[in-house]
Amino acid sequence: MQFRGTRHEAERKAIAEDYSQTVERLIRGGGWGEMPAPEDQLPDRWMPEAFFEYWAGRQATP
Amino acid sequence: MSSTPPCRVVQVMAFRGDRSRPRAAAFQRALDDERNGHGPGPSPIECLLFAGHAGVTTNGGAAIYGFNPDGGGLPVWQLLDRLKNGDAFPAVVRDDAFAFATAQKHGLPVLSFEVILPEPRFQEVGGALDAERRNSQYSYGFPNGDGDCNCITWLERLGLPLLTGRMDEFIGLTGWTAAPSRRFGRCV
Repeated sequence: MQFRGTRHEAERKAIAEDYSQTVERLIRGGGWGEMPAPEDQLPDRWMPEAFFEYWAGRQATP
Repeated sequence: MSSTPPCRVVQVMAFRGDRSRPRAAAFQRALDDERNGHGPGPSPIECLLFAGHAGVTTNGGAAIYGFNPDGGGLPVWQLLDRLKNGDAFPAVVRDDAFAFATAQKHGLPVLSFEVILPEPRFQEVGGALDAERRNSQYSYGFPNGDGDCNCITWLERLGLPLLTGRMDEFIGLTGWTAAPSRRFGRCV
C-alpha cells in the first residue's frame, strides 16, 4: 500500500527491498499459509523471485 | 398520523478471499499460464474468490451490487499488475450475487450487517446506487493508488455508514498505524 503512495523509483526500490526481506523471513519461518491479498502485493517486476517460487513453484530465471 | 418515516434496510455483505496455499498456488499458476500464453487465466469469479469482495443489497440478497474494475479486455494478469502498481481503471457496478453464492458454496464465510435508515435517507442511497449501476462516476483502484475507491470504499461513496459510532470500534481500527496516510484518487 505504501508502495502505491509514491512513483519515485528510489522510494519504490527501498519499499520493495523491505518487502523482499519480509517475504524471505516468512518463507524461512516455514509456516506461511496465506498469500497476501492482491492489494498487499507489489507489481510482478518488484516482487522477489522467491515469492513466486514459494507460491507457484515458478523456476527462477537465470 | 406519525410524521416519523418508516425504517428501510440496506445490507452490506462481504467475504474474505481464499488465499490458502493450494488455492493461491492454483491462482498464481493460472496468471502465469495466461501471461505465457498457455491458458485463459483465472475467470472473473475465480478472481473474486481469491481477492474477496464486498457488495450491497436492498432486497435480501436477490441482487448484490459490487464495484469492479473494467479492464477493457486486458489480460487478468496485466490488470492485476497495473492495479498493484497504483493505476486507476474505469469501474462497473454489477450484480455479483452469483459470486457471493459461490463463495458460500466454497465454505467461505459471507458476512453481513444491516444499515437501517429512515425512508428519505434510504431513497438517497437507492438513488446513488441506481446511478452507479447505470454508469459509475468513480474509477477503480487499489488502496493508496490513483483510483477513487475499491469495492469496500465504494460503499462509503454511496453514503452508507460503515461504522457504528462506538469509540472502541473506531479506535480499534488497525489502519491508524498500518495506514496513517491514505489517498483516494489521482492528485499531485
